[in-house]
Amino acid sequence: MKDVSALMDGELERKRVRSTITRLEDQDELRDAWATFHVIRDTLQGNVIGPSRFTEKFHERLEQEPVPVVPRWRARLPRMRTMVVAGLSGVLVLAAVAWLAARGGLQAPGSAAPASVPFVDGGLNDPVAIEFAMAHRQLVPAFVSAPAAEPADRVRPAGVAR
Amino acid sequence: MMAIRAAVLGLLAVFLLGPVPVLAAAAATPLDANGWLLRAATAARTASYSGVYVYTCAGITETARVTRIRNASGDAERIESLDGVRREVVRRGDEIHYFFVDSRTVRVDRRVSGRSFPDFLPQDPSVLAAHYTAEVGAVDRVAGRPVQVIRLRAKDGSRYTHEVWADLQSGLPVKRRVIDERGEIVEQFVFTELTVGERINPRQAAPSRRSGYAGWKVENTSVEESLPSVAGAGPGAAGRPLESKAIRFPEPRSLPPGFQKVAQVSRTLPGHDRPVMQAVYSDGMATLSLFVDPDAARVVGHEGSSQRGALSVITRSLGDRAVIAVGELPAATLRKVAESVGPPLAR
Repeated sequence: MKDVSALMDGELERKRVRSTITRLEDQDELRDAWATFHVIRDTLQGNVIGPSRFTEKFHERLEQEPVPVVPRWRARLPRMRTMVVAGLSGVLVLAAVAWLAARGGLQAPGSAAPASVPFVDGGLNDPVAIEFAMAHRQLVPAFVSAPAAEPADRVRPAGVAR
Repeated sequence: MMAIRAAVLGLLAVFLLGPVPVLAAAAATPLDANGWLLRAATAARTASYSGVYVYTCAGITETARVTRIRNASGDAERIESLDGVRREVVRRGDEIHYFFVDSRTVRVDRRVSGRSFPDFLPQDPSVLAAHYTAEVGAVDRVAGRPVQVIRLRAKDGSRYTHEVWADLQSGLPVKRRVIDERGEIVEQFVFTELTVGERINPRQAAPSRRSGYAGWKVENTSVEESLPSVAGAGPGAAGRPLESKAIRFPEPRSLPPGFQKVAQVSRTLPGHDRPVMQAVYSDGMATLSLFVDPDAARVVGHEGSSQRGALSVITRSLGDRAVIAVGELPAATLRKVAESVGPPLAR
């Protein structure tokens, strides 16, 4: 019952937020944020290790944000909506987009509807969490599964037998 | 029943086709779970393939076309997003070209590291036996191909269960699922179409735009060297000190069973002056990074937990430092690890 209620709540709010986002679509920063967001997603997904410059750019933008830059963890949707309406700059939009996408509430332009599979809900929306998640993904795989026979990876631990 | 049918078919084949079925019989030798995992891991490291896969987690669905060519001239890969912002990544060896079609921008970078679907299994999957029960499941069908399901069932609730669908013909993992303790799917990769083998045209791993990139904005970041200095701490690694002036890494008192430190680095994250310490632990399948940031202010207002697919992040402050645990593990596991760090050690 609680879940159903939460879902209903999410659905309602989602529509409102979507219309707000639509109004913002012409803004360059949204497009920029959207692109950055995709790089972040790619990296977290392990599709590819995103250019390190991206993290930097993302961070620079984060630094420019007024404090507090994003809602606290587990922020309630109405608060997020208010912030989107306020038309705050890049990272906030990015955070909103990330948050919405994590909820399945906002799709990339032209993309398909979310799958109706019972996937576990979750959301990675906090810029600090995203930053460290990317740092983790950038470094980790080489240590764990790089076979010794492969050419040396530049982040291979020193002293590992080739 | 199936075994009988297979045997009958095999016998028939022997009579009808002569020497050829000897090979077929060899290929059909039943592999145990570890044999399958090894085959899948090897195929993921060595095969050339081209296909479209779908990533799903928490209502997100993303589709990408991937081509990977391994041949005498090296290792090349191209990944193209099929939804959202049009982006295309072409990697040749260590050099990555990142194309943004909509903004006509190409960024050039060096690969830091990276393994991705379908290359995610450890080189020697037998190391997983201590904390996962490897089981051979049913024969299934994915992307029109017969596949073998292999399950790595977590022996405790501190880590996820993994399922792998390996192509019967090539061994290549064509589907991957991460499942939590309640049996819910945390994330999934699945090829919807796939070609494996040497017949793939290497052009498919080249930039798609035939008309060239005249007029595109190029951002070359490949000279940038933001790599961490690394001290090996893995089993058998001689290693060297983190840094001569380094602070000792505050080891967590609690780690999930079987997690060993495989690396420890001091690295400067983009946009920051002071390096953070990062220790990486692994059970062979899942990894956990523990960051200790000398600047606690960085996480003020950002403390808590978050999750995306199999990846969880826990952020907490610890006196004048911040502790961040990130890994492909349930949030509760990471929380325990993060909370077992400290009190801060003297510098």
